[in-house]
Amino acid sequence: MNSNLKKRNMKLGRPAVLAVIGLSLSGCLDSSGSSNGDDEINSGIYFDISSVDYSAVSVDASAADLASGARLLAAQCAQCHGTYGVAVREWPDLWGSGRQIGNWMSQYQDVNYADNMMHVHALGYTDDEVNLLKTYYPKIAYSGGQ
Amino acid sequence: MSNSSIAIEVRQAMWSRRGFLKAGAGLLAGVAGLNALPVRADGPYRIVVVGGGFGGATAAKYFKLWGQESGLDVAVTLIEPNAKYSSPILSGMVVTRQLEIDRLDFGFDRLQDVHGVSLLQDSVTGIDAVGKTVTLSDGSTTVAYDRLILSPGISFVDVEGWDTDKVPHAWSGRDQLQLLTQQLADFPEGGTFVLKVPAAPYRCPPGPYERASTVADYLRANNKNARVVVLDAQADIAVEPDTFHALYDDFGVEYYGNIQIERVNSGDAEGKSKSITYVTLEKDIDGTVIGQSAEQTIEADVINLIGDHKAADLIFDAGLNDGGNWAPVNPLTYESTVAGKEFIHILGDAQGTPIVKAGQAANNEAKVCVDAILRTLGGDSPYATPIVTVGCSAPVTQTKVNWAGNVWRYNDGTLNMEKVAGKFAPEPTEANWQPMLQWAHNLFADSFG
Repeated sequence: MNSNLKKRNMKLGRPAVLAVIGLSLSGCLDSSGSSNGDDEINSGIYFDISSVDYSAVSVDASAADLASGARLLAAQCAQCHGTYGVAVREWPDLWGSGRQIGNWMSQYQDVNYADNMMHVHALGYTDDEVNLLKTYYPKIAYSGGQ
Repeated sequence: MSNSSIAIEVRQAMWSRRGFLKAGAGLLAGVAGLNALPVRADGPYRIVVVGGGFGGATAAKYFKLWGQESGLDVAVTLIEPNAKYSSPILSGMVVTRQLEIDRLDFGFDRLQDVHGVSLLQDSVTGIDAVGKTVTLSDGSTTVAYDRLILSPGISFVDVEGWDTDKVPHAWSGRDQLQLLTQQLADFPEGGTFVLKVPAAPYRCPPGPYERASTVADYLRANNKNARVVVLDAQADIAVEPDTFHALYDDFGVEYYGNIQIERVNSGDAEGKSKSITYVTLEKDIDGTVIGQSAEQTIEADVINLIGDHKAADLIFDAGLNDGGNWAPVNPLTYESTVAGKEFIHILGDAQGTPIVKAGQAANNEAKVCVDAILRTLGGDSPYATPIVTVGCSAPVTQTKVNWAGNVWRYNDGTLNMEKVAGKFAPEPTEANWQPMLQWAHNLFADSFG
């Protein structure tokens, strides 16, 4: 499904730490005190929303000079790819990506990806809009952990 | 990283979260300052956000992030009655006891500590669109705004005899989710479960159909030998009919379309002896009602009555519905189009564009709204052709997950949003399970993190 995108993202050197995330969170989040029988459930599923370090995000000042729509269109992607494209839980990052975003979007527009959710999102953007995305994400840098 | 880059400032100590700011603390209360200038000379531009769900939380966060990037001094106050938001997204997993309810609780610590949003744990009971203030629950304390962002969600059209303390909708709020979960945990062997699908438009179009199939599978897995009945206001399953009809056939779910609920017996003091009474409408090819069946009644042990929707009461109280059930807005800015309601913006399920009612949609609508307001504040115009993209994913059985993706685009002919692309997963699969959790995690973090 997303293996292509994931492979491409390996340049960022982010290790596969899904299992580690689960373990470390179960140690620091309170799962007791439930009054509704939750103690009988042991899903092991947590949604830690504090993993992005915003002090490690930087937005190049020249981003302010980008064409109207660049920031806004890029932010639509953030819903699934993280604020500023800094994703959580082993999902493709977008920060720092320029030409790759163009490649991904044109690839996903291909009918061979018709069974992928990104297919429909890629079809929703015009070429000009994809070009705006390509101008925005290279302005974002992230030096924190995830 | 260039020297000119702007690091995102992490605010901490000055935005103490030890106790929410209480109404009347004086920091933001009072002073109904009318000001024609886009930026107030005497202080920051005041954004008041009402409602801490996906729309409101995302708006509050992005006002701070983008305001700072744009060099604009924006003070953001989020007014929300609950200490935490209970996400309806993935709540189906709570109902089937595959996820602890607290895993879907999202507080506002990050909005406060990291992003510098001020919180008022309170409710808004009135809006003065001329004086530009909102009134809090004590009826006298006011909070002044330059722009007011409302993301108050939904309310339900009443049904005769409906007591939501006994017959849950479980479509909004933690208590309702907990009630349905408990009722299903106590479900008697050989019992009957009835689910009512509301008339469109309602929050999360596939949601009621998913809930019926997941609950049927859950009761089956627990050997309850249950009768499961779906009563749908629509003529037929409105979302992926082939998928859901196949699932219902597998699980022996009875499905009836064109249903109109006449009344509900919410049960006795112990919640026993519930029943739901309905008629089947007869419609012509245009959907006009031309007749109806005799009344029928189903006795049920658990009724999940997902009532027809309308905007939250605040929208009606403030005269923002313009005679309808939803708040009409300009999709370039989400500002109300009702005369005299300038500077009031409505996000999410309460607003009336054709965009799907869903938390993910509210999240991305919020960004359109924030971007438009900040651009205007900076002397520019709102972006002229916004897109709202929505991805979503949910279980349809105990093990199989479905997804949908949709894109809405502004049409400068109709001056409204229109759906330009949309697709469902080819079929529900186990393989979609982990991507669902990854998707939801990113959505939760983008909205509340």
